[in-house]
Amino acid sequence: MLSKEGGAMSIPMISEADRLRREVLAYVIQAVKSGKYEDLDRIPIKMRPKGQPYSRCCIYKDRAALRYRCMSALGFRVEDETDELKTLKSYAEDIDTKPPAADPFLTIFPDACSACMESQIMVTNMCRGCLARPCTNICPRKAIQVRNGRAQISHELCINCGKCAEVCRYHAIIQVPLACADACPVGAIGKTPDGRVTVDQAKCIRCGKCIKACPFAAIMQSNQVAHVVRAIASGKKVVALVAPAINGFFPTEPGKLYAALKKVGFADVFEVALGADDTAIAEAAEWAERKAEGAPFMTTSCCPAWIECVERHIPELKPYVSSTPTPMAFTDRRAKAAYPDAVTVFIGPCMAKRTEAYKHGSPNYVITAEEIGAWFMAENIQLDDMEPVAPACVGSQYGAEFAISGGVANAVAHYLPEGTAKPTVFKINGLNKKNIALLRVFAKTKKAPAEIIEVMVCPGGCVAGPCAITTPEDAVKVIQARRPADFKA
Amino acid sequence: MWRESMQAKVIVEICMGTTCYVMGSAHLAGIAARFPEAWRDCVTVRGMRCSGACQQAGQYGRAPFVRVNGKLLSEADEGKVFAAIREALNVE
Repeated sequence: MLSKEGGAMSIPMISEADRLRREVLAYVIQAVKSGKYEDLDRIPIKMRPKGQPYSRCCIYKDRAALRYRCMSALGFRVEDETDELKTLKSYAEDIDTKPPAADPFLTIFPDACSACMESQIMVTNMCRGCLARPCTNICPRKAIQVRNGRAQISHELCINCGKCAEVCRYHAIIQVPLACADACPVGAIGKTPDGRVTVDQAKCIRCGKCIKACPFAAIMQSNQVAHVVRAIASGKKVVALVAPAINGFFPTEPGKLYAALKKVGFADVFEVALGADDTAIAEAAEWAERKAEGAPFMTTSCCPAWIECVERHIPELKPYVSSTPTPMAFTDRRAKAAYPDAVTVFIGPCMAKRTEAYKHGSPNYVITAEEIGAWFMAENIQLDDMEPVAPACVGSQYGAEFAISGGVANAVAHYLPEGTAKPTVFKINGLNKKNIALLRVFAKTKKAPAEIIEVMVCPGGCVAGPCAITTPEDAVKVIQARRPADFKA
Repeated sequence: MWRESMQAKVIVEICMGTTCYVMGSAHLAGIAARFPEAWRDCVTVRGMRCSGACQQAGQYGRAPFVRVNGKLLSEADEGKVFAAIREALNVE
């Protein structure tokens, strides 16, 4: 198989699409915060001024695309547009009376989609029609024949396995990827008759991998940060629930990050790592109970894209999924107990958390690392200059490591009730088509290779979430550097 | 992440201010690990505090900013930083 993930990405890189999205967010936040809504309609012109380079066919298409990016940054879906002349200013005015767009939080700007060709194996003109012909020998479907001195693939027979590309000595056969569809672990991405992207919302598990993968940034998310900015501006008490991954993204001590959050207007800060401790304690007890009743295995429940995957694609696995609430849910309970009238805002690296919050009706909003990063940009806040403050609650290192693949299982093992044997662990570190099939087998056979199946949809864990702002490797280093001496990994 | 070289001919300073960090310097911070071996003893890489360039309404270009021997690079990426180091090594 050709490597689709990793490979060329081993050099950490930020894409121009990521940069564009963050810049749009920063400008939108600036305009909403200052109340100068008329600035919003100038953002596309400001970012693509006359006479400057542009990235699509012309400057006007760039500006039109930027307008829709601003619309989604303000919390509204492109699909919900009813009047093309409605100004961004008037969308901003809607924030106080209309909630942000509901689930699904994916939104597509079809005119930004490049209508890429279907993922396929292709013979390039580097083919020399050689004598050795390893491509014809390796093909499991007899899909390759050499005609007129050139290998030819029958696309009716080809199954895109990529073996021919692997064995060709001239690198003459290439796998042309379809970035969005290849990234989707559940086959939710399709095409309109004119070749543009569509997402089957019934299949979509909200993981956000396609957003990251699309080189044209045609798939976007509807944000919620503008609503949070307005909630603070209108005098509501707004508290931040900070996911453990966030503490791996900013190169500073957590206290300075919390000070920055208070500076932009959050009334208090709760570490979701403490909610993660709650989850681990409850899940450990749940496993002890299930094991006593003879359960062969149990999967973790904290990854919301995993929960969507079970519901939409592997419902037979449901009885084996832990019913323990997630760290976000536990932390939200703590925050609402301390501040019954508060608006709660989860800050994390994840898109699917927005769907989880929407389904449960709480916390009130979910914003991402990108949104909070853009917010700090908009207000020119330097974390290093902050005087550290203590959060309302602090989690343990076991809770903090929920953000890293392996960390959830480790925390559950740490919090096992006395007398319970340490369970064996099998990690799904990044969900894909292959391991979904494997998980289906676990349900069917009522057997798994270990007792606790830790599932993280993003490879590496939440630190590799679609809205992360650093490399997962760096975030892991930052989080693990805080391990106390008695920490057991 | 950073690297101090004993006989540094080139000093690379990567802005770790918020705007630069979010706009890409987070991904540049580990750049020393990807240097050719020959640069080990002559190129220093360190972080720098916000220089304020990002707040000058585009006068100096867009974030992220990196300084190579005092020369400010805007919209810095790995390619630009490598090219600037190569240039600095040839000149000096």
